[in-house]
Amino acid sequence: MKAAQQSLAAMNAATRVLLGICVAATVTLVATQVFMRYVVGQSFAWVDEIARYLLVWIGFLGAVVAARSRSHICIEMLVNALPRRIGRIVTAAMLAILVAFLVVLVRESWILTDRVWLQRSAAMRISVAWVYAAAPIGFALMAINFAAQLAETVREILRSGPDEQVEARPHP
Amino acid sequence: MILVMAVVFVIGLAIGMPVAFVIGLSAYIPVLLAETVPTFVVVQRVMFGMDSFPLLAIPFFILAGELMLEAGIAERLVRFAQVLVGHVRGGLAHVNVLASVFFAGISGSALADAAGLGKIEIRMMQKAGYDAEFSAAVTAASATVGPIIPPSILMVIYAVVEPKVSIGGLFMTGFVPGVLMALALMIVCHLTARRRNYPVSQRIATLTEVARATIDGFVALVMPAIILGGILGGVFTATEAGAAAVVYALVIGLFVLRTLKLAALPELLVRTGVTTATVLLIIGMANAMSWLLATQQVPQTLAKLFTAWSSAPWMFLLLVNVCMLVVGTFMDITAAMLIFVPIFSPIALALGIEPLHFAIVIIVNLMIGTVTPPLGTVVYVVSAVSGLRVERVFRAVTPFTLALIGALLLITYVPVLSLTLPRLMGYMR
Repeated sequence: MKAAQQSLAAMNAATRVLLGICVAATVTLVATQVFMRYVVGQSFAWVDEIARYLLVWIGFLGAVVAARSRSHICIEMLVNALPRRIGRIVTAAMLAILVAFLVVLVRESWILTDRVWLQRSAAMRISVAWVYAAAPIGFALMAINFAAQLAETVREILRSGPDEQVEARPHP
Repeated sequence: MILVMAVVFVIGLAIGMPVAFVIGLSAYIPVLLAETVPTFVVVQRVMFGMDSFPLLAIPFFILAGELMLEAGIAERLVRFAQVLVGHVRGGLAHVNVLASVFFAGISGSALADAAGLGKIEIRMMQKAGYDAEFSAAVTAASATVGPIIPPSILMVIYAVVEPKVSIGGLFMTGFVPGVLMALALMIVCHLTARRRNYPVSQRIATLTEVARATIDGFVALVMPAIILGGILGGVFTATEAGAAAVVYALVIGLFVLRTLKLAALPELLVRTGVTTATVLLIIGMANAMSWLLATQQVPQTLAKLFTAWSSAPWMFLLLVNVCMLVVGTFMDITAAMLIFVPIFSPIALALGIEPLHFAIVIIVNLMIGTVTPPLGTVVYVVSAVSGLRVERVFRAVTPFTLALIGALLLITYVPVLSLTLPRLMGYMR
């Protein structure tokens, strides 16, 4: 259990580092491109392409970090209006559906990545699978994080009796 | 098929599933049930939606705003606004609105305005003897101006979904409506200040004070000048302007003001990545949903239905106003825009409504949705910043909301207000 938690924490820390690097890289690339175009008078098509591809990776890696920090936008008002125990059960059901959907998405995006393996990008001539791979990896890491939250919520439901009166809500 | 989509959508939102996945699931399940196209096409649409050069402007604008806030630019803008309008009755309320207008030129996001600038504004107003609710209400209401006055992340996204408008054209269209909204808010501030006899906080600033505050505020106000000048002058794309703004903010923060610490950068980069991702995932998923709606001919069917019933543009605009105000109250604004713009836009076009005008009506509408219950995201942020309960902020913000709706009606039914500037700049025939 503890080992699982530790490896999850390590994985999320690595994701954060990678995400920060991706953001820094896109800014540097596009800023350099602007400089090259207007000061040196030369620009490279591959820079725009790689910046675009990095944006896709930012989207998926950032969504993993957001899954962990519960930063994804959602409407919690209805669930919060329910009695606490029922609210937790609804949240658990929601997380279960979400994890199942994410597992399906991992499979679908893997099929897609596999299919585009031989397709080459316009400027850099690299396999576009490098871009598409962000989807199965990102969805899988999101699934793991939401599954961890599901386990935590279920444990809270089991721990608390039906008429429990403890402090804060599970979702801040 | 559409029914299945709607049912999944409503249930998903109700049980508190993140909006991005609700949209994804309501696009995926109908495709799975119909068995006409392979289901991985949904994921392919998500990828198409996210892979876009113009959308790179989103992390750049967010990062530039974060850097400026970290460098303490918010205080400078507030001080600048203070020497301009601080001496009238209820002066700090006006300062609050004006500072948001200035900040709108830097951040382009209402939430950044409410969270970053809001904290300073609320603290300042309470210290000067304004009641907490009013301070929070002015802060929330004025944050809605952020995405109307350029640059604006919401406008970048709009221009990506609706290729009939350009980012530059939209930016120009936002100016006058943004100023109108600010004026409407200032009228409410003025009336409230008179009725409740709010303090006249300050003597009129001396010329040296004005000069000093202007110089202090100047470093901040150069940023929108770079972005807008670059885009309008045809030098930059919005994405490149965003990158240039980040470089400018870094140079100012690290070398000119020296208030930005290098150690703070990693956290800002990660935070920018997360904010970008939550928006980007919604954009991708919504792209799958509007693809599905398009294959079902939903926009065309609705357009036919509507034009058969009425061909009056004002009737349609009124319908859009009401519909978007309702939608904006319970849905994330990016998601609402991405789903409804492709549906409404063909009708607007058929009725001869100028695409830029239609765009600004939609965007202003959605921004008002951020301060109306139950899901006014801006009010939630201000409530967190001020420590007031959400319901109290919603109640206090109501007069401002009404003023904003007044401005919205003006913007909707007097198109020349918004369209003169883009026409002069050559964005319309």
